[in-house]
Amino acid sequence: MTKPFSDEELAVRAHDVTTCLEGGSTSEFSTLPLAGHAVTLALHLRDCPPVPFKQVKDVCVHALHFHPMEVEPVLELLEEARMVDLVRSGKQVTLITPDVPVFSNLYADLGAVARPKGLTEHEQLTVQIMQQLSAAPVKAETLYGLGAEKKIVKKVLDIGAAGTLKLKKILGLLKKWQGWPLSTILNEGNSGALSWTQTTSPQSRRWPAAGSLRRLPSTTHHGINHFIFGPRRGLAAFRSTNATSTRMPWRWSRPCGRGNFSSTSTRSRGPPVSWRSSVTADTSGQTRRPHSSTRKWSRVASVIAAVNMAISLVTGSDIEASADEDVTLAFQKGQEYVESLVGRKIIARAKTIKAPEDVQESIDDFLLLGGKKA
Amino acid sequence: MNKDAGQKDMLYRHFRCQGWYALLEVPVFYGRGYEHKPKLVTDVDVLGVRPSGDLSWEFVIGDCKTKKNESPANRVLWVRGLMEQVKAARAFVLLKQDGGIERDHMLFADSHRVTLIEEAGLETFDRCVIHPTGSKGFPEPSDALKYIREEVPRQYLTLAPLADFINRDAWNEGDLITMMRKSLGIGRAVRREVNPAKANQLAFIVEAASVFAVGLASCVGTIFHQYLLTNDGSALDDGLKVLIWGGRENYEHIAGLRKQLLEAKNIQADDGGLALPEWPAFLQLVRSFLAAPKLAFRAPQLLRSIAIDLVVKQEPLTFYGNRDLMLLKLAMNTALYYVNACGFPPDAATQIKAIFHKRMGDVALSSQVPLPQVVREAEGPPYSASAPRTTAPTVPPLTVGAHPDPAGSPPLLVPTAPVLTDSALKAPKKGGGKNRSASKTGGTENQQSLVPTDTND
Repeated sequence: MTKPFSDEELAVRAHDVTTCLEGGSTSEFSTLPLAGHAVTLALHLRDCPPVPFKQVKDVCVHALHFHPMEVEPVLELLEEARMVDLVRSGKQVTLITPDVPVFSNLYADLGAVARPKGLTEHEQLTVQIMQQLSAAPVKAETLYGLGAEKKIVKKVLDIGAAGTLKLKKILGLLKKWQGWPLSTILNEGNSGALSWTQTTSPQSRRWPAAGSLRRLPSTTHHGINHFIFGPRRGLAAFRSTNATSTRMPWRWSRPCGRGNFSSTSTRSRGPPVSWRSSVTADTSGQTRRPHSSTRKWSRVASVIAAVNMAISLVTGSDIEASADEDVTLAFQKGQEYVESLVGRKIIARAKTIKAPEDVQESIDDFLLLGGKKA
Repeated sequence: MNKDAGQKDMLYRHFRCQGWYALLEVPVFYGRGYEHKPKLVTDVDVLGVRPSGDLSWEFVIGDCKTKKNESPANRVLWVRGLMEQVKAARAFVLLKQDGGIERDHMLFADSHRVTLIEEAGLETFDRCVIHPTGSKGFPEPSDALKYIREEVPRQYLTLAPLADFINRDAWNEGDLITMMRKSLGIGRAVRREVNPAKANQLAFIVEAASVFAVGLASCVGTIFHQYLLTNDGSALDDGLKVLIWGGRENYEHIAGLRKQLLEAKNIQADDGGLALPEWPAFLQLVRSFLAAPKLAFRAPQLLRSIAIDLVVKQEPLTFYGNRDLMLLKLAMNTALYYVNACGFPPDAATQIKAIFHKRMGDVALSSQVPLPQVVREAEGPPYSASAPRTTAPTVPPLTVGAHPDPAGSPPLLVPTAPVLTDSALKAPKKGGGKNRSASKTGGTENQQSLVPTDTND
């Protein structure tokens, strides 16, 4: 039914799914959340000392939104992939000794271990849909033509839509500020220039950290890019590690050509907020109105700002793209630190994605008959 | 017993107690000698290898003289030459002087980075530097080290090449990174002769791993200065290869020779060129140390303590608590890399892993470990050998004394621990000869003779 996909693709998409579900769960998914959580945890355990199991469990449940019952299976998956050693006392895991490889392909390694556990039809379809979306936006009708049952496609799309209300809000904001570096959006948002609330800000920081909300890549399409479902690692045309001055003009010219550096209202005048603030702020940091002499400089500065932004778009923002610093700190510091974090948060509650009506009906009917089939 | 054995033991404990790596009776050769077999020039009684403040090692010479009334000034000038030869940062000269050492001679010595100490004043010196109890209670007798480095290879003659290397050649190499590379080569040469099921052989392997770790730390320090915490695998790969083989030109020359050799034997090269064995694992090891490079300069000392604990039958690593978890992990990875890269039997890795996992598991279970119960000296002797233990409790009772690795843990605290008596250490010599103990008792007899006994014997 579905096209084959690589181990790496499986793990990348699993990671995307779990990040977007924000701790939500659904009965159709079993291996994908496991693999996705394994990727998340592996990214955060890099460079960490051995961590007591209780501490890992606390951080996973409260900061990474794992279900408490998922923590041990995820760790066992990581152990199978030889990324952690589990120290046991009897049958009980007491300590996790991480040794997450930095230079090998983490996604491919974890995908290879997760695949033999088997994927449900829903999971296979989800990976395939996300694979398509990563290349370009597609219409929903196209997805029904993939060969899967209509009911399954609908369910998968429902999961995608229902699981991520906050995501929708952030996507709306990103659409409004299309093409800006996330760091700029967050900085401007914090100063009140954007409607970037405190609620969405931490989430939007966490997503790039988790690898799901990636930096704007040079995609092959010209449609709206929501920064989400971006090309998977390795497919992006530019890599930050290959930054050379010879490629820079080409790098920034493409997004510029798409108007990505301007808001719709001020497209012809260059970036509206950032360069103005950079050229009109005096040494004390006070903003003043531009005067005639600064206007000339401003035009030059706008180009410079555009170049800088283009560079930051393709090379990544200041935000760490591998792990959430708070979570990493929680692993590196002691249990007391974690408990203080946990104490400040509401106890994590498991969220289940609502089943479609027909499924609910069939469950109700089944129970009405006392557990017997009609 | 050598006349200066007591002095050496005191200096050894003094060095180790400060968290340094230390060696006894290191022969010195002239590296560019004429003879096929290098001729001995002299030896360093105790060689300290201490971490400097800038991620490198410093050598410290300990010179012991039991002959009475040696001229202090002459001794200073002599040791100054030795310091030049081994590139030492400091030297300590112990002398027996009836009338005391001239103050001016001491000043003269200090101006040459040499400390003159009268034998009678050594204990005071020790107690002042390692305040307040000194290193007397440090539970790592130099005899145990001599047993591992000299007696074990004497029993198992096939291990002699590796013993020669860790005792002699390693410390006469031009640089420690080259030493690290060669330690793997020598280890591989004896890999089929190793039997990690015997505790003393396992101790010998771990001791060899500690020598490798000294070179590795040097490598990590240099790479850290070059790349900081890099995630660029190809750059690190390239940088390490060039560093380990002494520069680009040298690396490419040797890589070319390797290619020609492989072609001459009709072997198709299957890898990324000239590299250390288990190269991806080595890259990962170096990268993991880059997150905490100073720990690389504590790992050899930790491995040494395990080697000693194995022969004196103490519970290993009891000094290391939950503040040392990262160090434990990195030291374990270092030892595992060494045994895997050398191709030692898999049992060696299993046993080493078990030692570390045991300790780390204990630490994880017990939050009491970093909060030791301190007993003041007035309440009891700083070091008690009257109650030897073969298995240490999870939380060792601590007395004021000396910590083996004060760099990262509460200093001057040691558990009461047994010592290795002369009689215990001499016992294996009675059955000396190639694999003799193995043929008779499978090594058990020798191990049992090393069970700590009362020091008052």
